[in-house]
Amino acid sequence: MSNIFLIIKNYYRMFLCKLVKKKEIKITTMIFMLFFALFFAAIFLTLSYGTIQIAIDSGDPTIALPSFSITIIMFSFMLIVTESSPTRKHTDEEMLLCLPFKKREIVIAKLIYFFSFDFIVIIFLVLPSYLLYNIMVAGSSWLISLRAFYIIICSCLLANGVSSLINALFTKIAKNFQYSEIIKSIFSVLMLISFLIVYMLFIFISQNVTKTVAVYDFYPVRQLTSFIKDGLFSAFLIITIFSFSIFILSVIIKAHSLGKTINVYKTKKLDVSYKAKRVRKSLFGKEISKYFSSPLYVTNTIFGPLFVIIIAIVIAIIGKDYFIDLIQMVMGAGYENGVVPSSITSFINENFSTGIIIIITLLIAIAPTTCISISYERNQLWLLKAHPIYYYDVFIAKNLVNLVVTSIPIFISALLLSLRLGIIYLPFLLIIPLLASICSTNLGLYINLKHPKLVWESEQEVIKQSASLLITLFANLFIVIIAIIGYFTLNINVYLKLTIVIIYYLLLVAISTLILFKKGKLLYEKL
Amino acid sequence: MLKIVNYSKSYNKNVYAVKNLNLEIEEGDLFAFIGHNGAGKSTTIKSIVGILPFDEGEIYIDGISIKENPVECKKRIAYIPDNPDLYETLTGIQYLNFIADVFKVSTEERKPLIEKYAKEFEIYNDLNNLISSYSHGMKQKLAIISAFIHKPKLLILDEPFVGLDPKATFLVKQAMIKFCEEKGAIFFSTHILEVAEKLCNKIAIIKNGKLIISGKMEEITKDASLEEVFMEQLNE
Repeated sequence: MSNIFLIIKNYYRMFLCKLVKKKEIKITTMIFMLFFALFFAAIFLTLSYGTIQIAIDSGDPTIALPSFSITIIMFSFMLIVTESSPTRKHTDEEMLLCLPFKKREIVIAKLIYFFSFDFIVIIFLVLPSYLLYNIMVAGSSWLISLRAFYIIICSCLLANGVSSLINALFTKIAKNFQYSEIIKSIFSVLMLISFLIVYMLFIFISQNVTKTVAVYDFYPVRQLTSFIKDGLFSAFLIITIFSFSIFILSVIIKAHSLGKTINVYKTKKLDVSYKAKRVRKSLFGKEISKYFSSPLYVTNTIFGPLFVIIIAIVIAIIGKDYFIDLIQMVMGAGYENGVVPSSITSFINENFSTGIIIIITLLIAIAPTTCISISYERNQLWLLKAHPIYYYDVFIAKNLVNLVVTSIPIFISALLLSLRLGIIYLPFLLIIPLLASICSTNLGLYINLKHPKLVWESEQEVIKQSASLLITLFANLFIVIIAIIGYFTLNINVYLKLTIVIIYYLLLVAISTLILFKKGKLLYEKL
Repeated sequence: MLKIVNYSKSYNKNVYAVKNLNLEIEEGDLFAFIGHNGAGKSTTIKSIVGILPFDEGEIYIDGISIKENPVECKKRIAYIPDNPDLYETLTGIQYLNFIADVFKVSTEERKPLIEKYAKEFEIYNDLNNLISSYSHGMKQKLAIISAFIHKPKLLILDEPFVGLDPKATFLVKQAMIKFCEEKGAIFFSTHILEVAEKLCNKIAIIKNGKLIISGKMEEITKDASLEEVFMEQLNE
């Protein structure tokens, strides 16, 4: 046990050392993290407030609890999806295996360390709902919050265990193929799509009272609620045994495979192709292969573009009006009587098309692949720097990866949405997200050049926890917010306003390109 | 071929990794760069190949400044690092084709060279496998092959024999000698003094970032062995 604590302590020490290494990064990272945390916590609290209020008004406040149980399940599902992406061998694995540690100690320490970040996020977002319940519902037991805390721990362990088992399965299947990493990425994307579909289905079901009751009666929801609400011992036992046993099983399997070489596939193909390509094409090929060979990289950056396609398909199928009803239903949870005021309803109706363009733009632009593409080079950066490759060829190749990832969803969504919103919106649905994507691509690359993280032990560090990612997220959010403020401040024709948004993005594209190719060049040379 | 003039590099403003280094390597030279761990060998090599920017001085390759025109300089050199971190998501042949593309080597030119070296180094049958499945030695061999396929004028090698099996070591030595006979030049760092003594015509010893001795092998060693000279210089 002391070894586990020793390894975990060392990980946190390394994490803190990296955090305080550069003071300016530390402050900006902290500010961004705090901003995002408060923003999402506020959203969750508002929704929870509405749910509890409706429950109180109905005379039975406890009917709010199944809704919170569903939130925990959705979070666990999301964790399973994001953590199922197989990661490459950590660089410290061999070093740790040389030391007098048991394999299971290394595995448990690693799992606890990496999942502690997810755990903190879930605690921060979900637990306040229960605390709010205790505050709002007079006479309610504080044990509800305490039991909810335990459930969150169990759900994190369960998600951890399930994702590790899926991960092991992915790895076992994929190792029979040469491009196993690409196959793992495809698996991960399929998992992500399944999550998005379940999420959308949940929103649909929530609109129908009969179906909502059926969801509340869903076995896991019932068990969680029974334990949190009444402290039912049988539910406690089932939840504990289920989550702990799956976690332990995953630890055993992970410990078994720790240190083993995963990719042993050897082809017998002997005919070799020597076909020459242009430098830029060759660089792009290398970038694409690098990107699609990291399931974690893919799932963390393709989420937005995939969501765009799903939104477009849903709107194309169900139509604009039904989709507006769904939005109003979700928003209704934030109001005391569950009904959105008419002023807001008419605002949504009037600005629906613009709203969709804003959402698509945000989802497309928020997390470009480029904001980690320099850090992801790590020890291989010498290959770009020691060979006669112009900096702009490197930049273009890296930018093209993000443009390929985003442009296909933009085209698909624009075509589908224009069927429902009107063909007049087609140019705006195409041009605005495309320009936003180019701008965020440039910005992401520049920020990563400014804050590169070329030394890292695991992919998670660079893909999920790097400063450049957070700064890029915030910068892209800021750019969209400015566009929204500008749009709603102007009192002119909608199409004219959207044209001004295009001009705004055109200017940003020009400025970001100029900054990237002037200042970015100097940063690249200093790397 | 390679001229280093008053080269200085500091990682910290006041602490120099290398200070005031002057070296000249001519056509046909096989030049060994020797020093203790942390002496500044890899720092110098990384600056020569354009990876590390430097504070003072100049580095010229074939008369062209690496500061002024890095890409033109890099077209004339090939570099093999001590630990070849190659693109693991590519196959061996994809990597070699990538390097050949970067140096604009045509299909007709690259084919016989890749075939020849890959067969000599016994990795031809593995060219279609991913680099991630290669051993350290195989990666080193692949990096060496990639250095020869664009016919560079100057080879810069950082510890080239690390991880190679005896046959590959022999082949690399033969290739190095042949390369210099054909008017190429090689600048390499090594800790294996016997190899440096047998292979090289010129040598430089660096200690704590400062060049302490440089010149022709026979003038430096005279009657002593290179090991004796090195230990003597190090202890001074």
